[in-house]
Parts: sequence; structure tokens; C-alpha cells
Amino acid sequence: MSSNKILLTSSDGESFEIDEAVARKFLIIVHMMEDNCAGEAIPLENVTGDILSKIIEYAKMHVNEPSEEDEDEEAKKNLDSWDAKFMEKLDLETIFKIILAANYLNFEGLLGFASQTVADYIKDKTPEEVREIFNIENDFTPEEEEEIRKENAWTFNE
Amino acid sequence: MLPTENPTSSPLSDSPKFHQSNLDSIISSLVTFLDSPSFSISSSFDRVLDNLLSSCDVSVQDQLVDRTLERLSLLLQSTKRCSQKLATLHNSISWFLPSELTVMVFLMVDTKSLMQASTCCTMFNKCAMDPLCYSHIDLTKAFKLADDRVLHTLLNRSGKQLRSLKLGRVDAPGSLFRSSCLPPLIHYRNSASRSLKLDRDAPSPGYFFTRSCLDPLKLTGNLLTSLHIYFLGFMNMDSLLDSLSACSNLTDLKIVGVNVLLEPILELLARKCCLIEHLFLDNCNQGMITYPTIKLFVTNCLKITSLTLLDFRLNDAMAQILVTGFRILKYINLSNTAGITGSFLRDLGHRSNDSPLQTLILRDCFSLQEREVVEFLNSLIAGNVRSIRYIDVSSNNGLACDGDRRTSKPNFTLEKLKEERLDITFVADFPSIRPSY
Repeated sequence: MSSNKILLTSSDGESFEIDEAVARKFLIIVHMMEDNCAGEAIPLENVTGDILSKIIEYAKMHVNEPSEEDEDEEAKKNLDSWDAKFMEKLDLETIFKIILAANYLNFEGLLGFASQTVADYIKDKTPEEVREIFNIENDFTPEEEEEIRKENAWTFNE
Repeated sequence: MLPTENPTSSPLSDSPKFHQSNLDSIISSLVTFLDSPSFSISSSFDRVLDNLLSSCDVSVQDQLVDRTLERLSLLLQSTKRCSQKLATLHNSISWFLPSELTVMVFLMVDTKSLMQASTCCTMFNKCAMDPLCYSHIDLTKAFKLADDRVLHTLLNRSGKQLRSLKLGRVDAPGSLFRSSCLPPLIHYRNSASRSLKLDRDAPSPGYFFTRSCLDPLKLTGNLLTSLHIYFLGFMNMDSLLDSLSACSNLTDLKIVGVNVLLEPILELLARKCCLIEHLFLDNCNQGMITYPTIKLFVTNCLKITSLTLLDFRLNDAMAQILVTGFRILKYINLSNTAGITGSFLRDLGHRSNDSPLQTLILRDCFSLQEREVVEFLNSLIAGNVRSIRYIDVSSNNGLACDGDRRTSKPNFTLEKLKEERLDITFVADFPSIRPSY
């Protein structure tokens, strides 16, 4: 694989030089390159610098994605634990921004992983806890709330 | 300043100079007027209303009271609505993912947690109704309260997106006692016909799902790939067969502890669900299987890679067909099959490269003979059945020997096996046979 460097520029003017192999994890860039609209620097209007740097960090670790058949358990475990640490440090707002950016960049691996992280915050929690975690208010009318409670009564009182 | 009007004179709004903007500013004043130590709003209300009411006729008083109540009730409702709008706006700022990405997160959440989350706010509720969220419905974790209505609601929501469905109690108490877990089918039929009041569609005692709980699958099941049902009690056979026959893309089926005859199911799979890859049927001693059904099953279901048939009345000839008849079978578990002696292993043992079989489990097969296993081991040591990796012949009752004897310490040449076939894990636990009293 050629060690071509690609320059990415964030919406707020930060520049990142990365290997082509890493840039190819972002399908939006692959499409740009195929359509020959990738010039020297690729502007990414929908991603700010701080988020882009996190995404690039993740992409670099995952550039050699092991295939399903790979027997290297050790390497998989190490990668998983790196992934977990990567997400642990991030607050919810950042994770949301990463989801939006990964969606825009069409970076499926990170999009799935970040979405799963948010899903894990929702799993096995009561509605009160979920509201607390995501800073959400109950905006149902009393009638709506009564109806919804009744419909979902089977999930409570476990 | 509010004009003090005589309530019996024509209402202010009739005057040509009264515009919407006047009304707006009245309301605005009322709401924005700041509390102050020199004015008490509550005593002001009392004072003004007392004055108004005392200065008008009895006939008008009721009107005035009603109007005041109505207006203030409207104000209250309006305030609540606006407050809700604010809350909704606040939520869209806290959770700023667009609905497609929210749905993407939600489809990674299990059914029960998703339902709880849907009661958090209107946005979650809306996103939680997307059919994609219901592609994998798992009701095994909410068995205490999930019933037909719940199942039907979820199935309706899934639209065309239903891909996997799990229901029932995975760890029902009956699961610990193999053949006595459910009363025999015949028995129940008799008592059912005696009782005139028995609602044939009611859930069996102790279960919340009815016998026809899977009916909606007839409409939504055609893209379903995985179905697991555990301990649902009695099921209506026709309903179950109809539902399954709509699931032509089924690749993974697991039925445990359901009081139905399982032979018709095998037949149905052979005729309608030929894409099946993983089959797990726990018979709980419910009836016979015939040779033709087994043959049909093996002939038509070419994609089977994993097969578990527990507690069936199979014989060696049937076992042989099952173990050697599928082209890509990797895993087979025929535990609790009382009728097999192990002679079918001879055919398997003589195949050198053919079989792709990797796992063979024959736990608690009462008639399994020590010498058949020994002979099988010898053929493995000689290099046959290259693909096999895991074998389990453990039993609580040891293995059968010649005559009526049983042994819990069979004559296995395990060291030789380890030497020649290091790749094989051979499990043979025989807790000492308890003396019978």
C-alpha cells in the first residue's frame, strides 16, 4: 500500500495529515477520491477539529481491522480494551458528536461502536435513570403519560 | 391598569376600540406582574372577586364564577402546554441526534429496556415506534408479565422488520427435571374434554401466553430468521404449524418445554423451511418420531449445520441417518435419547474424510454401550473422522455393558487417544452409579 498522505481540514480550520489507508476508513473520502474531487486538502465542513482528531485516533488503531477468521485472540482483546478506554474518557455530548461525525464521514466501524456505547447507557435502566443520564425532561401530558405507563406496565415491577 | 367594570354592562370586548392586542396585554400583565412585598396577589384576588360578586345580582354571580373558573382553567392548560413545548425543546438540545441515528441506537437496545426508555419523553417514544427497533424481539427477560397482547403489539410494530423472536422462560423450574417436566399430552386432553368451562384459548395455568400466541407470525414472519420459544406450556398445534409455515426464511429454531408433538414440526421444516441451519428441539418425552419423517428432514433440509434433538425416541438407524445424512453438519447433540446403543457410531467411525462433524454429544443416553464407544474411539485413534474436535458421552447412569450390567469406569484408552488425536476433547463423566433400593 502506498504511503500517500492525505490532508484533512476540519470546519474550524484544523489540519490533519494522515495515511491514505487510514483516510480510506471514511467512505466519504473514498467516494471523493473515486470522483476525483479530492484535491490536496479535503475540507470536512461538518466536523470540528476536536472531534476529527478523536475520530482519526480511533481510525488509526483500527486501520488493520482483523478479519472474522483471525485466530489472534490476544490482539482482539487488546484492541477491545483500548476501545473501552477510548470511550470511557468521553462525555455523552462528545460521543453524540462522534456519532454525527462518523455518520457524515461514513465511518461504519466507529458509528456502530459509538451507538452501542450509548445503547449500553440505556440498557437495564429505569426511565428516571435514563432521564437523569441524558438530561431529559418528561414532556408528556398527564393523559399521554397514563396511557404509556399502562401500555408498558409489563416491563416494570420486575 | 384593569378597568373596574360593572359586570352587568356590555362586555369590554364589544366596544369598537377593543382589539386582540388589548386582550393580549391584559393576559401579559397578569402573567408578568412581579410579586412584591407591598401587594399580595392572593389577597388581591380575594378582594377583587369579593367586590365583583357582591356588587352584582345573584343571577349573574354564577355566571361570573363559571367564567372565572373557565378562563383560569384555560390559562392553566395553556401554561402546561407551553411548559411541555419547552421541555421538548430542552430535550432536543440534550439529545441532539436526528431520529435516524436515534433509531440506530435504539435498535441496539433490548426490547424490555427499549420499552422503558420509550416512556422517558415524546421524542424517545416516537423513535421507539420505528419498526427497525423491533427486528429483534426478546421477551425472555420479562416473562413474568409479558402476554399475548404485549407480543401482538410488538409484532405489529415490527412490520416487515422482524428478524428474530424469543419468548418464554429460559430457566423454567421444569427444565431441571428432564422427563417429568410436563404432564404427558394424552393426560391433559382427557381432563380438558371433561371440563366444559375450559377456555381452549386461555393460557395454560402458570403461563401468560395463549396457545395461539404466535398467530401474528402468519403475517409478519416471512423474513424471520430466528425463533426461540421456551416453556410456553400447551400450544395449539395447527396455529403453531401455520405460523411456522409462514416463516420460510427461518434459519434458527429452538423449541424447549412446549407441550406439542414435535414430529409434525420436523415434517413442516422439511416442507416449508428448508433454509434451516440450526435446530434445537427439546422433546420432553412427547411422542414418537417415524423413520419417514427423519428421511424427509434429512433430504430436504440441506443447510443444517447444528442439530440438537433431546429426549426423542430415536433408534440407532435414525441416529445414523441424522449423524451422517447432512452434508454440512458440524454439531450434533442427541442427549437423553434412551433408544440408541451406539451402533450407529460404527458407520461414522469408518468414514475418514467425509464428515465435517466437529462436535458429538451423547449425554445421558441410557442404552449407550461401552463397547460401541470403545470401538468408535479406536477408529478415531486410527485417524478416522478427521474433523471431530469434541465428544461427550457423560452419563449419570454410566454406560451399558453386556447383559444387564452397567459401568461407571469404562475401558477407554484415553492416553492413546491423546497421543494420536491431541485435537480431540473427550468428555466422559460418570458419577458413581447409585445403588438402587
